[in-house]
Amino acid sequence: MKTLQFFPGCSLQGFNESYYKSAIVLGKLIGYELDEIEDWNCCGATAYFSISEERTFLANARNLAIAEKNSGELTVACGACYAALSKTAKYYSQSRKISFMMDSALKEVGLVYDGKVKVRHLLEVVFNDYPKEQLAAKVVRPLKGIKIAPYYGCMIFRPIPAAIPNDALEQLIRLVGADAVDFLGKDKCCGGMLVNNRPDVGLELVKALLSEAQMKGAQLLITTCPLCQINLELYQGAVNRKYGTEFKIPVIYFTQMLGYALGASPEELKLGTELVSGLSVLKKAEVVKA
Amino acid sequence: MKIGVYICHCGTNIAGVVDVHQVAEYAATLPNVVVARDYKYMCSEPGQNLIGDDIRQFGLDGVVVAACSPTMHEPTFQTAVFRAGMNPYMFQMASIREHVSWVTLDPAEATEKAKELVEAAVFRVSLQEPLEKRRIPVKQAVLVVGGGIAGIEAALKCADAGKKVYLVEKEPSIGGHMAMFDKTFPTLDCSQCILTPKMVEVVRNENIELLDYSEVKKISGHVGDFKVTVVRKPRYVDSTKCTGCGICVTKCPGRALDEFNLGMTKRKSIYIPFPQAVPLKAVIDRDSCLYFKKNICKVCIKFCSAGAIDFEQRPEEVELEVGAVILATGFKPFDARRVPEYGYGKFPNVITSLEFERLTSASGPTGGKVVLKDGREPESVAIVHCVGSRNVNNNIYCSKICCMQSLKHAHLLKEHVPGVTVYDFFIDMRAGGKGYEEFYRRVMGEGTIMIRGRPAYITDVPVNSSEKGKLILVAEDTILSSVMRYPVDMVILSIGLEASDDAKEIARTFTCSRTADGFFLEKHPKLAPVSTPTAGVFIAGACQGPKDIPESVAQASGAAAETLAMMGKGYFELEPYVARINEELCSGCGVCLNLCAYNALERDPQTGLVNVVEALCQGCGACVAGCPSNALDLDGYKTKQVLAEMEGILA
Amino acid sequence: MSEPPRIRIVAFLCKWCSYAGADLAGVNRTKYLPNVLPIKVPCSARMDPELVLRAFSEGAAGVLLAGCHPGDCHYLKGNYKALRRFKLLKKFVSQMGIEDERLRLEWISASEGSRYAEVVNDMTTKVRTLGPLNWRREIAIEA
Repeated sequence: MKTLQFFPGCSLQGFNESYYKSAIVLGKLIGYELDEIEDWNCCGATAYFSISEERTFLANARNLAIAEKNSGELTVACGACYAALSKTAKYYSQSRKISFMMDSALKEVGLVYDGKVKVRHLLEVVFNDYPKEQLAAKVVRPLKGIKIAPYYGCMIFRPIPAAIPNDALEQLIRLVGADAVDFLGKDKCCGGMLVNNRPDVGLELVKALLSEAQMKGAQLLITTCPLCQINLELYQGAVNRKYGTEFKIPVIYFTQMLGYALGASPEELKLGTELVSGLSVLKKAEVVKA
Repeated sequence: MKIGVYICHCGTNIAGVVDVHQVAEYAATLPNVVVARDYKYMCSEPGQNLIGDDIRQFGLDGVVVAACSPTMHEPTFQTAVFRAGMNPYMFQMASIREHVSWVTLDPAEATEKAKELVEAAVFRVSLQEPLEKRRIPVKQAVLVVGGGIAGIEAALKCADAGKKVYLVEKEPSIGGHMAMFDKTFPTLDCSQCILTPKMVEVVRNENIELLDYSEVKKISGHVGDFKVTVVRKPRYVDSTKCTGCGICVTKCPGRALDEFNLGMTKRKSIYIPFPQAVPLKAVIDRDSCLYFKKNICKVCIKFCSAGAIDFEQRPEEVELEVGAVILATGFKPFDARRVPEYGYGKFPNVITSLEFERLTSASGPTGGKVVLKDGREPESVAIVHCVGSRNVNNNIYCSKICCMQSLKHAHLLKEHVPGVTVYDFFIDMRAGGKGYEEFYRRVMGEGTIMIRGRPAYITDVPVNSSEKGKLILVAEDTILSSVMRYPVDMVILSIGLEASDDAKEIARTFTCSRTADGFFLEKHPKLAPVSTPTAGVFIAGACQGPKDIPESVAQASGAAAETLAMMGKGYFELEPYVARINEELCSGCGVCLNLCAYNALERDPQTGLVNVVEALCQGCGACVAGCPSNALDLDGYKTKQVLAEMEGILA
Repeated sequence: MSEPPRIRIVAFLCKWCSYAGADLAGVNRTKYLPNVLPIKVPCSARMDPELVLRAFSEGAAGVLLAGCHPGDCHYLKGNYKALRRFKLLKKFVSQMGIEDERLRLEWISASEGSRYAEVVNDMTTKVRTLGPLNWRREIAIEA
């Protein structure tokens, strides 16, 4: 049972609590414990970066400095937090101007950062640190016959690619017995904040993703980022109203899918609270004859 | 000892950073130096004459030139001093350009370093001794590795000059990639039509021995006298009996993917690679042959009237003796699956440029018809340049020929499919050869839509009804500054060229180096593109770097010329750097014997002491460094000379 | 007091790979610190431990040996021989009190110009921090 220094980020604490809870439950099943770092601050996600790159680096410098105190690794579950923190860590080591700025600011609050924190996305941990055979052996509810489309979102691959192959989610989908849909939009932008300030652009992007999912017969979408999950699930209604479409596709977290397959209860995983029921799809899995 | 020292300005290359006067003045104060000069261009004729005149006037017996790298001009100056009557090995160069002026920021430090290197050279030359180059006879036979257009051309040129040529080709037929092309740019000649006569000439030429379906296993020896072991792979067909009639092929029940058609069709387990194959003999692929897999069938034996089938064939080793080697091993097409955004391997109608060549070929999988996988003619086709080239994710270099190949394909599409819409997505248009720019204009005039923009990805997910059933390229037209979606029926990916899979192995076998891109390293990128630092080993064609057919042919002629020049002389001059043994110091301990990779040291049966076999010694010095008694020394790199050089640096 | 002596690092570069690599660094105009003086030898196997020790005793602050990557030696296996000798020499030299950073072996190919510059800069910086080798003086005192 290993302990992972964890940065939940704002979304996991509030709106997307189901991701945090299911991540914890998954940890109990496969062998990790999430240790939230103390007194972390918001990473700024994509919004702050577009306003001021410099201040975003400073905000994340603080998180990295705190993380470095205990160990050199920091796990995040949200795609945007992953992008913000890993970008900050990378530019610290590559740009003297940025590292100087960060060091000066940290000094003001009595913190020090030595550039030694490795930022990892939770999917990297689940995919790399646990042998697939062991995970497969733990599956008690195989999701046979369910067609699941993997949606990674863009930030887990760009600009700092996580150390996973570009079919990591597909491999996990197959591992739990389900069918992985060949989803070309898997790393295309979900629209991010644009669904709010520029819905003509943002909703268009969401529609493209949902159209493909529907076209390819996906019964369920799994994601690795709470912001993407909101856009794809919460805004389905807005998309339907605007374009006259009739999308009704559940969008859940990969931790919920894995947790369910590995035997956790839907209540623990916070399944059943989604707008479009993912639980009812999971329950449709064919019973595998013993 | 009377030494002359010459400091070159090299224009401003050296003089712009190093204070050449100061260095010359310093040199004049060094022991044994009778004249020290600085001059603008030492390698020029007046520069060389300066040295010559001084040799005659002052009776110099040692010369130091501080200039560019010895790799550049050591031979130039050695020849200059030789012509003036001095032994060329009483010469030393100090590199104060590549190693000082070009790499040092501070002029004062650069001048200091230059002085140290000049002092080192002067001290070394004081202890140098006259040496004579070794002449070794050159065997009048050539090994050409690779039977593509470059290998064929090189073989023919050497054979026409009367030399014996062994042409080794690893496939069952010669012809290489050129045999797979349909038409060649810019003349649109039929590739097979211009290639086949040369292929036939290869077997007709009595000086060429073709070792088809064979590979080089081992090579030993040195320039002028290489011993090569070639393995002839078993065809399971006796080439001396097989007439190429093809009956066995029609009767054979076994199937496998046809490599010549890039897996787009199937062939039989016994097959002739393509209709114009040379040699036109059958070959059995044992992985798919029913006899080898399950010990049944043998239909080919039943129908072969020449009795040529021989399942008992074994690989055969052949030993050859040659004086020189020409490597013409070609290239490997880039695997488009490495660019997953383009969907090659996923979308059946995304094909590579090489596959398209087979489609338009009359002897190809569709008999020359350009059709989609379901047999329909495409209404629109997109061509994508630079797949696998010019980007940091795959290969950073430009593969040179793909722009012209793309234009050719655009033209062929218009020819084969009336009314087709063709989009050509390029980053830059590279049309530098003879007639190439004119061809580009012609293709533009035919109505191909040129889009300057590299597609981001190809998708089959439509956003409106006109995109249904199509492949959609999403690309920014950078001239319009607009991201656009282009729905088409077929996409041709213009894939780049890479070094072949066995390039590493071949480089090791023939002691060749490779550049960072994996292609073979030439002796000098500008002035010696077909020779390698290894004497007697030459390179030609795409194995040296991506290039088109005329360049491959030109390089093959060049490599042949260098080979023939060497053979014409009848001897090769080796550098005189050989190991020498001091018999008084040698105790016969034999430690050196195992250190020599060339078996150039042997124990004298009578005295028990060690002798150096000069002809085999390559002058590496491994034995010299290992001798506990200091009985061995290396001419030209004697311990006392190296120590003197060091002393000059540290003084 | 006179200026401290210039730090000089003697580099034995094999003609086929590392010397060519150093040439390439020059052709690319890559700038590096000017304290490494090259001596061209046919092969890294020519490196005799005696040469290295003499370099130190004559005032070199450091010695760099560079050869072809394993498997790529022009003389087939010379670099392996150099490596074996180097390992033994390293032990010997450290017993004499010469710091680890002063004696270094690197594999540098003919196409690795920037690598040559990196190695030179790195080693020079480290050796400059150590300063000149005081070996000669100590030996002289004992003698």
